[in-house]
Amino acid sequence: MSEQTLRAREVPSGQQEFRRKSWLGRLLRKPNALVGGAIVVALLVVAALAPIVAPHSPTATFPGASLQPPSLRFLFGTDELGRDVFSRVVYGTRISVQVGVIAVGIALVVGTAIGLLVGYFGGFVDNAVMRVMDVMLAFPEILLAIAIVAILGPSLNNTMVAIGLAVIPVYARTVRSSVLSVVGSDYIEAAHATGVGNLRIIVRHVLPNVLSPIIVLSTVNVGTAILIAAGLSYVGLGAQPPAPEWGSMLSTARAYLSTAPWMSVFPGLAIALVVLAFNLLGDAIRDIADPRSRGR
Amino acid sequence: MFQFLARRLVSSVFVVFGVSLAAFSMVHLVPGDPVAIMLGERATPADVARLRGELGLDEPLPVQYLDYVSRAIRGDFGESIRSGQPVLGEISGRTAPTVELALAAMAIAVTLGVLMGVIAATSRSATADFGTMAVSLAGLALPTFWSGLLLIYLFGLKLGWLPVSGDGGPRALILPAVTLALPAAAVLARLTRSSMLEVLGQDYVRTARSKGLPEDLVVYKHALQNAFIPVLTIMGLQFGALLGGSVIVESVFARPGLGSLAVDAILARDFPVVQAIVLLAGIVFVLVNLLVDILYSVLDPRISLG
Amino acid sequence: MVGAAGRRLLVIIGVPVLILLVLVFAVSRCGGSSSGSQQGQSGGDLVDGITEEPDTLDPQKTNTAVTGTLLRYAGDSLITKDLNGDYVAGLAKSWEESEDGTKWTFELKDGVKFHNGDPVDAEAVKASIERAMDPKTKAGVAGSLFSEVEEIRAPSDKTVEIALKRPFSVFEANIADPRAAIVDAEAAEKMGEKFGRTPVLTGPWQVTDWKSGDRIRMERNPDYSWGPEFAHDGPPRIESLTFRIMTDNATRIAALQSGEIQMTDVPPVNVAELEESGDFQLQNYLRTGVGLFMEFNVNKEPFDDPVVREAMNYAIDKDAIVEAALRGLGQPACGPLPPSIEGYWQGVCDYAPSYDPEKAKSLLSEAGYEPGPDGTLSKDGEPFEFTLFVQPEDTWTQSAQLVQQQLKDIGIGMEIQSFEFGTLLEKAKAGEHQAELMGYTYTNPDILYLWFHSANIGEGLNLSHIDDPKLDAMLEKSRTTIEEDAQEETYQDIQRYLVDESVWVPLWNNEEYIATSQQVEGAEISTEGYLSLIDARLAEE
Repeated sequence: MSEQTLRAREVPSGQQEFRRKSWLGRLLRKPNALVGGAIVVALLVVAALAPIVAPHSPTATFPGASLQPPSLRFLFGTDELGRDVFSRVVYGTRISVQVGVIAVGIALVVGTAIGLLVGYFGGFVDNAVMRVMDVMLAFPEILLAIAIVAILGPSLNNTMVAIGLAVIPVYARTVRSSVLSVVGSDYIEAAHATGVGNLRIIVRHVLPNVLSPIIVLSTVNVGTAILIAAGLSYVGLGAQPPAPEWGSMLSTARAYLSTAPWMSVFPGLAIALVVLAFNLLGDAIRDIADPRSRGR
Repeated sequence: MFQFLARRLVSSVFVVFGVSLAAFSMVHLVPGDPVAIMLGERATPADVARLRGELGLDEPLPVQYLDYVSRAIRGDFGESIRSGQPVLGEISGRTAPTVELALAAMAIAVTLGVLMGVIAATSRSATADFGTMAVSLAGLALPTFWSGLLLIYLFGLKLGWLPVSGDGGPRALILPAVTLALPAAAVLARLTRSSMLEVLGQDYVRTARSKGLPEDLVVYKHALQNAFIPVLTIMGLQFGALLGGSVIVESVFARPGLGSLAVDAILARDFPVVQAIVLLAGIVFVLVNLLVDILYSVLDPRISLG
Repeated sequence: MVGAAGRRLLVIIGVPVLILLVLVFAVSRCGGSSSGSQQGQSGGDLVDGITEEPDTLDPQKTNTAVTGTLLRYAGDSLITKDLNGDYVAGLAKSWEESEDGTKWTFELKDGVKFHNGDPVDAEAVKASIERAMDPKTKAGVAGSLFSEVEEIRAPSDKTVEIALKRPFSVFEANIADPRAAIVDAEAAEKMGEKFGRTPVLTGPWQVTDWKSGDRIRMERNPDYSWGPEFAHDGPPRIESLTFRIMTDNATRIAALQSGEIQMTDVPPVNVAELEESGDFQLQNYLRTGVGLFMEFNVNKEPFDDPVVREAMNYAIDKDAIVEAALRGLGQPACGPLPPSIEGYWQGVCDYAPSYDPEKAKSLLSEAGYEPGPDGTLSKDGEPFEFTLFVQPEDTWTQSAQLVQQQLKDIGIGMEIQSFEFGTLLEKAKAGEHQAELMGYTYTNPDILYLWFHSANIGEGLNLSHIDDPKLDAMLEKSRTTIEEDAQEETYQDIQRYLVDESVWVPLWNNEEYIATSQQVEGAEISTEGYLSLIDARLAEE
């Protein structure tokens, strides 16, 4: 990807400042945002209240009750070890939230810091760091994540770190190009002229201007992180049993696709809904932040 | 134009250099003595010392790196630890299936994605718009190791239309390519939709309409052509994503490609193979994106280069 | 406004959900139309879906289990076993062991040729075995098969004499191992690394092509006339065998159901489904090895205490694990040998501990672990917690999770940590583990020597790191005792001793299932765990 392409999709600076106030109001009028937001809120609520929502422990095995179809006792049926699929899906929300927050958090914090600093100061360091980011971008995220987990050893924590590290360059690039677009602008020059320090300029004037692209990116990336985590589970490098991570539930359930479809439908649906929700939300935020794609 | 290309070329060379450095240093980053791992259980200390010498591991690092690069340029990537075969042979045999898969998936993704994006952007009813987008998003939201299996069961078993696995000609390519294409198609559909909406609102399209040109012509000649530019850019990145996706899709469909080789090699700590794949993937990524940039600058005269 | 938004909401959520449900509904219970695409099987090609790609097909260099199975079709050993596990002539028509067990004499069959036409004479056999023993070959398993060999002589064209350093009770079994197949050492020298891809052997089929990651192809050896006595004379009936590498279980079974492959190993979850469909023949055998056991590192807390290890043997309900992880297709394991390996002690299940959580608790109390108010056990303020290393394989992780639940019930905290098999083995060899799950397949009771002799700590398979002179002495005796009754007694003593020491919690011995499509006729299962195809044919469809 060249710099030109990213710059071409940038929000003209200045316009954002005055529009920020009406953000939430306009967001709430968007159906994608409503739906996406509702699912995300539901996810958070279920994650917080998992012990109350779930009728059973996610790891408790009910001897003699394996592979039961959905019933009143087991809403989503039971898995091959006689565990309640509903309770597992419910507790799985916690893992998904964790993966989303921590993996995206790592990428967000590190990537934004890199992007801000190299974009603002420019020069040789900028060039060097961005070439390193290019090198990282050259490897598909999932392959990078697999390699990192293979080195660190498989666990949920390492999965989250690996996903976070793998996505850093995307943030660094996005933030940097946003920074570049405001660095030359009049009010930054004015701030410089009045003797405001670099750090203060970055925090007060540059950061607010790069917020909207990284909010959009982060929203969408939560979904991506959950999908990569699921992929790692399929390769055998994901969350460790008996953690009710949706991807590993789905991965085990593949063997029972025709005999116990409920084992895969519900975790599959959960992944799909959450990824969908974050994408819809991301779209809506993008629509609002980017005036040119405000079609309807 | 020339300046722009020259600059892109220089930065590409830098990235390739970085990729080779990454591949080279990988062996030194991983915990454990690579030589002991390469030789396996029955190695004697004398064996270890001999191989260290042969691999030049006693030399200073820059010398080792130069040696590694010069051998790589000559196509000598060493031997696979697992199979004992030359790495070059292992890799070259498995490149074609992955390239085939990625290209087919790209074709499907572009066709599906652009089609759905155009339908969504031009449809008069909001329901059709959102419906199309929702369908495309469903493809994005499912892990491929599961959607692939659903396709296997449906088209391979239930309907019996297509082979479920392997590397046996174009029919066997359909299911894995579709599985791999679904997420990319969703990304392209959304991008096409938004850039179409943007273009459709612009002056020259309005002018075309007011001149009484048929709507279809406006959409496909003027709007789509211009909307395609950002789509093209993202295709470069999506190609990388497709290569990544092949890691899982290939093992689901038992296809002998680079993706499945990469995972096997990483899990078996077969470093010479991993190194070579890392190098290859990096170079392919750089080339594809260079190509995209060139196309981009040719297609969009409005962008000033240099 | 509300109405429109409501409709949109319905569409956005509804469409993907609907697609998903329709898809899943469509695929569930879909055993029915399996006869889908029956494409281009040219005459007599049998396609077998294998779960793992071999490292090499050189019998002497391989370290993967799957190679042993493939060599059943491509290679011959000097002696072999019939389908019931009794020794029969292989490339040697007769063989003899000297009185003291240190000299073996083999008379070779006439007219045997390697795949390239070279004759198999005494010199060729000598060269083959010497290649396995040559340190330069870096022979893995094959090297250990011949480890006790002192010297090989070829007194005549058809006579091979092998002198051993000392009597070796399992030498006959080792000679019959598929990895002891006779190779064309001269061709191996000439071909270099290529020999591992298309080895020159003597078997009923010949490896002609290996497409990495995809398939291995073998073609009928038209000259084959030296098959074992249980098979018909002459070359095999099936023209060619194709082994397709299919690591994903679900895909492999789907490929069997769609007719793309005609033969494959079946995981326990799919057995009932395939049997009920009536489209396949399923044959099974009791695996020649303990399918799964929990092994303790006897040097690491808390399992350095034999009383704690014994308690673990009472704490685990093996029946529940067999029921859930194997879908009932197997039996609880009691000792280090399964009934399918010679030397198995019939009394071991009566002697070994059986599920008794109360007894486990009292033993643990004896070892100093007392339950706290919430039931968790602790000793000197330290809670009883440990980590179990496993590999990410369904039956393993399922068993591990059940063990975890059962131990939790008596107040023990267990973490599960999975590693890819190679890594798991490395870590256990290095002694980084507290306990691990493991399984094995072997042809004879000498496996006990490999698992428990102190000489095999570190590089070998002694993953419990047990270093016990008394045990070592018994194991050495088992190797040099060649008189049958005495040998049986020695093995019995070892098994009793290992149960007393509680080095393992043996979990299960599983039934392995191989499915073939109805088209495959006359394929017979061997107790050694492979499907004999020499007499099989493919019916026209």
